[in-house]
Amino acid sequence: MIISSTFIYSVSWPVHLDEYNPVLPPRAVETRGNTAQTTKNAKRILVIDDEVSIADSLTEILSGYGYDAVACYDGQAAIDAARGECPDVVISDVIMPGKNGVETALAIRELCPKIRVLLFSGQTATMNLLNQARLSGHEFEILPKPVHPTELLKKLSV
Amino acid sequence: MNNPHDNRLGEYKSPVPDARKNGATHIPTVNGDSDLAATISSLSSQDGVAALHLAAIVESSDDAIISKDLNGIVTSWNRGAEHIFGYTAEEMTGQPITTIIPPEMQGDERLILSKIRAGKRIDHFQTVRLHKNGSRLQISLTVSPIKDMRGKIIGAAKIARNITQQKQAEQLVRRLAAIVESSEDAIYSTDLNGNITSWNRGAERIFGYTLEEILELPVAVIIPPELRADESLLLRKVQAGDRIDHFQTVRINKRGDRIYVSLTISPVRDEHGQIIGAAKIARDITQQKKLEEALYTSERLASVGRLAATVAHEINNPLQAVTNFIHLAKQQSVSAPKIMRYLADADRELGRVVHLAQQTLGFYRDNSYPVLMPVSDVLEDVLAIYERKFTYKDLKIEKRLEPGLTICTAQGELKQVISNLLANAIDASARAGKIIVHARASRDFRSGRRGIRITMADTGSGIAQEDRAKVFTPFFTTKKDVGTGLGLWITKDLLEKKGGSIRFRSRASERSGTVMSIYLPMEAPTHCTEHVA
Repeated sequence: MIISSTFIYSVSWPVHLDEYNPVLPPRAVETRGNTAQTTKNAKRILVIDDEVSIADSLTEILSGYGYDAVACYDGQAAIDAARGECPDVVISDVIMPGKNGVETALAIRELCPKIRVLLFSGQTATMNLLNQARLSGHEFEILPKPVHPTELLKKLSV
Repeated sequence: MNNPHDNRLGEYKSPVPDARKNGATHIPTVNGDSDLAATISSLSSQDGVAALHLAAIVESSDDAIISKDLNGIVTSWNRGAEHIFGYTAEEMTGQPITTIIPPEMQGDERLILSKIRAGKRIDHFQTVRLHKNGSRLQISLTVSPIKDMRGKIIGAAKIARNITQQKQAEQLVRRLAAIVESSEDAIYSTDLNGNITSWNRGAERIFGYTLEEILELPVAVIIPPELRADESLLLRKVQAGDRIDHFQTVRINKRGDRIYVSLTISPVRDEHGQIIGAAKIARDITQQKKLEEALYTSERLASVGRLAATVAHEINNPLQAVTNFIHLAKQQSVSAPKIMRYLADADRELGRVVHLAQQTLGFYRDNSYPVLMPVSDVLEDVLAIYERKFTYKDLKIEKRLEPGLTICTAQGELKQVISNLLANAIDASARAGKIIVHARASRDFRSGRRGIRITMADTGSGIAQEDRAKVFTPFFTTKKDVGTGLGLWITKDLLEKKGGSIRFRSRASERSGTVMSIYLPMEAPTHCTEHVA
């Protein structure tokens, strides 16, 4: 049993940054005993959403398909997690309290230049943020919210 | 005969006693001459008294009274003449009258003299003369022949009235009349009984009645029946000397169409300052009103659009969770108890969507009729929609709602008003700011009408001093990317249509923030239906 899927943490919300120790492995979600196996070669994915049920359920789905998925409930927690170990993919909500999805993705890219970023967006307002990011030379893949899990998995397999 | 006074008096010695017999004009001068008394005392007592009277009249006249001989040489010059032309009697007596005639009019004098020689009189001839200082004077001239005892014409008596001011006034009146006539606005006046006393072309165009048709008719013909009471109120204000500026109201044209006008009314006074009527300027603002209505509709659509965007986000989140839970439940390897848990989670998320839909419906449902409902319900519904925005900015919301406070009103509009104020407060707020919503029963301080007052106070950036006068004007916005500049304008309009009001205080410097305060009167309870949740 390796890394995330078998770590069981009780989820406390809201997350206070001072509770978080970046040296430890990143906070993971209770996966309700998902038995899927992840290997060291599995893609590491950070799932970032301030909606706990979305972050958790998506992490659970991805874990079920063999990804090494970690749920984060705000941008700073995700950045700290990335500092611990670079993810391969970041899937993030855009509008969140604290750091928004674009800021978070940009900060993680600083740490881990090779990562792939998928942003979910349910709002037109996010287009402004994305345009700003585009102006500074960052292209992100956009997923409409709600996105069907099979669509998301298809994207990830590309 | 070096003394001109003697000369003048000498000339009048003989004509005066005879004057009344001959019916000719006799003009003695009384420039304070001591000789005059002697001259007059030499007359028979009856004639003497008459001559004294005449002399006094001539001397006290404001008009210039001048006599000249048939060669046009001045023989007398009264105080009025001194005053009007600036020359003293000493300066002018013995001088040609042409001294005071402009060069290009010298020909006139020959004409006048030839008429006088023929025994004719010239009445109220309007011409121009020169003042000693060179300025031109508009004068009205009456010239009559002077005859001697035998009836021979020996000179002319001129009465000149300075009509420069009168001319200027006439010119001003003509200019004003031209302005009034050419005005696009309707300009008309009424007497104190409300009967029309003047009516310009603009009024003909706007109201369709010609001057002939409407003159002396009561102004009520252009006032809708339900507004006629207002008119007498306005008339009373004008009678009290007040002016009414840009009063927006409705009038009816000849065809019976209603037109929106902006009315300015001022009292008309006579020369004694007595108010004798009302002058009205009516600007046709029908087009402007139609545009405003179109704007109004588009802002309502825009606000629905903004709301839809907010709601879409709120709905998309639970939908994302539901989609995920269903996907998880469909996995073949999942045990039955787990499926139950996924479905329960999905159910909970769907509950959020349902709740949101119900709150949002308050904005869409036909809600133009008043409903009696707790104010806290209205506020909570709006607050719920913006709840996530509070979270994003880490804003604290403090609710001070008077318990049991109800309002009878069209809830959709009240929600729109609160939603506009709340959205502004959130936008103005910095991270970790605070918004205080306060609702309490209140009365309008003027009418005493019962209603509610809701204040929304934020600790945001405040409204800059130079923007404060503009916040209720359409299209004024400080939120260039997202604002239409119509929110507060609509808010004010919605409130005022219901007899309510809005005011605010704001500070943009340190300890900045804005407090918006609205008052909304209760509808009469008979108009109210119970709120059905």
